[in-house]
Parts: sequence; structure tokens; C-alpha cells
Amino acid sequence: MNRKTVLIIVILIACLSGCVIHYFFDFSIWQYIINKQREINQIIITHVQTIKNDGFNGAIIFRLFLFSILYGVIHAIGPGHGKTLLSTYLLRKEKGYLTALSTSTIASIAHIGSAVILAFMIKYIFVGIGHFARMNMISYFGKVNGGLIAILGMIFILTALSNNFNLHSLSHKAQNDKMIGILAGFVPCPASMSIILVSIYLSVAYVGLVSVGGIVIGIFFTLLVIQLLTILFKDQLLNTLKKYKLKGEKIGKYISIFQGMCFICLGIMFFRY
Amino acid sequence: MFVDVNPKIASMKDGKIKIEIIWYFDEFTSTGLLMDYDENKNGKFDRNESESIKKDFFNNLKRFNYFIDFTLNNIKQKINISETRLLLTTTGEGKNKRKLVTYKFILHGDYSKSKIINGDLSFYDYTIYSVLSPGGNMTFGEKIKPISSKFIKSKCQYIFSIGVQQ
Repeated sequence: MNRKTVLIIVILIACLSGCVIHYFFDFSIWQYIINKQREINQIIITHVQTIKNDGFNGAIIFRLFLFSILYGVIHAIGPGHGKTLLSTYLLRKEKGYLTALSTSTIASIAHIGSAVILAFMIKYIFVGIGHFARMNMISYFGKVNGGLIAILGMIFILTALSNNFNLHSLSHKAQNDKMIGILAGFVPCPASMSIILVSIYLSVAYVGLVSVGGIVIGIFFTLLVIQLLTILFKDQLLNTLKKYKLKGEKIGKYISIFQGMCFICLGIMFFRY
Repeated sequence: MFVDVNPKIASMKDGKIKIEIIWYFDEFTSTGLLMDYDENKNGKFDRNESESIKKDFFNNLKRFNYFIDFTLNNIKQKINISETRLLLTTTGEGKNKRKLVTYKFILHGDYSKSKIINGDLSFYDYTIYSVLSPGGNMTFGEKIKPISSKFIKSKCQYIFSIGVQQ
């Protein structure tokens, strides 16, 4: 049995076991991840409260930072962190480890950075904005983001299907690590926004900043691991396609169409939120 | 935002059922709500503050059907709530004192005089900004005797069956 067959069998067994455990034992890995997030969320607020009550304590801040990294790792496993977008982007032949590193960095900083900026704007510029209006603002970010991703998807598909020079040039510009990274992390992280706002409210804004700093590292880690796995699978996929005697040009075309379709689906999903 | 859900079948009469639902908000959200709505900073929600929180926050959930999906005898129920109450509960003492926001409301259903009610009540926020989890088993009012009741933790879904006294 070759490596590919073993890999497929392992994935199938894992999926089947997941279904059996979910159905018979009312356990979902998703629920487990949510519970863990909730536990760490509680630990973070407890640490913030402790610093508020007892004053600066280096050991507690360091612990908070470590828990925040862990929170970021688990949090990024959940939806809306650009994993699919970044992985699909990586499917192109020329994209490799450097792309994975740069897009993960940009996406995680954009996701948290936009939340921090928004939180400070809410506190000092849009004063008096209510809880629901804040959620709505994040939802609008999601809609704009969804629209942009879907447009990008359409460009990829049209480019693959036509020989138009302008379209090819536009598509080439769109295949840009910075832009894809920003799109992947464009929607502000609601959890980080809450951490910043609550820490400002408790007059310990720096503690909130330390915490979201940890979350950035955690999210970066998860995105990077998923992208590295994508690169491994991509090599396997390209080798398989070559076996079917598909020319490099054709493979690129199919990948572009697949990429475009994924981007459009993701865009629609984002738009819905 | 994490919310624990606790439903209780409060009463059944003339084909109508009332379910009392309590939402317990997590500490982060509770602190955030206090920060936003406790305008006079007295550490509690006064009447006008409670009103503005309901108006700004909970009334807006109507367009999401309050994240509730409710079926009685396979008939999807229109989400109709009343008697909403906002409470601030305190847990712990001294430095460990924590204030948590809870929201209580009544959900109405129509079972059209069936002899047995088979109900399905689930809570889910498809916008993924909040996570609703079961806070425990469904409870029943004194005069209500359930035939069966269970909840599926992973889906925050309550499935119950009640015999109706004619």
C-alpha cells in the first residue's frame, strides 16, 4: 500500500469514528473546542479582574499571555479565520512555505489589529454605541469582506476560462500574499474586541493589549500549521494529477477554477453573517 | 458570547403552552453589558437602564427569532415571547465577587388540544457570534408530568413529550 492510500484510509476511519462518537455519545469535537474556548475565556477575565483588584503582577500577566496564546490557537480552529481562503490560495504551484508564513502573519495581525482599532474607536470616537450596534458593525465588515472575496473568485474563474490579457493581468495582481492575508483577517475578532473594551472599562487597558498580543500568536500558529498541512497535501495532489497525464497548464487552469469556486462560496457565507 | 440556557415548561392550558427560558450570560459579556448600560455606574441595572438594554439588545434579536427553533407535534411554532425580565445576579464574595447578567422570558406555543405533546426546542445562533449551551435538564411545573425528556448537549436541543390531561 502506498502512502496516499494509507492517508486516505486514516482520514476515512477518523471521519467515521467522529460520526459514531457524535451520534452515540452526544460528543462533538466542535462542542469540545467551544467548551475549551469558554474555559480559557473565563480564565482570561479572572486574570484581568485580579490585576484590576491587586495591581500589576508580572507573573499573572505572563500567565495571562500564555493562556491567551492557547485561546488564540483554539479560537482560530473555529470558523471565520481565513483557513479555507488561505489554504485554497496555497494550491497554486508557485505558492510555498514563504507564502504560508507571510499570509498567516498578515491574516492574524489584521484580524486582531482591526478589532483593537475598532475597540478604541468605539470607546473614544463612537461613544455610546450599544452592544448590538457593535455586533452589527462586525457583521458589515463580514459583508464587505464576503463581497470582495466573491469578486476575487469570479476573476479567478474568468481568467481560467478566457485568454483576455487584461483579465490575466488583473488576476496576477490579485494573487498577492498581502492582499489575501488582509482579506483572510479583515473581519475584526469580536472576542478580542470584548477583551480590549472590558479591560479599558476596568482601567487596565494594557492587560487587554497583552492578552490580544497572545491571541495573535495563537491564531498565527494555527493558520501556519493548517497551511503547512495544505502544502503537504498539495504536493500529493499535483503528483496524482500528473499521473493522469494532465499538462501543467491544464492543472493550473483547473486549480484556478476550483480556487474561484471556493472563494465565491466563502464570499457568500461571509455575506450571510 | 457564551450563554447557558435553562428551559422550564411553566404551564399548559387550552392548547397553549408556556415555556420559561432563562439565559445566563458569561462573565465577559456580563461585564461588557454593565460597561455599556450601567450609565450611573451604581453596579446594577436601574429601570431605565434595563429598558435601554432590552430595546437595544434583546429586541434586536427578534429578527434572529431569538436563536430559537421550536416545534410542537411536528408543527413549527412562530417565536412569540413575553414577560421579559433582566436580572443581575451576584456570585462569590470579596475579591471573587462576580456580577452575571441573566435574561428571563416566556416562550409561547400552540399544541391545539392534542392528547400528547411532542416538543422540540433548540437554540442556535447561525451568525456564530454567540454560543448557546444547555445549562441542565429541562424542568417542569408542578402540575406537569412529562412522559419523556432529554437534551442533546452538542446541539443545545431539548426533546420532550408530555401527556395532556383532558
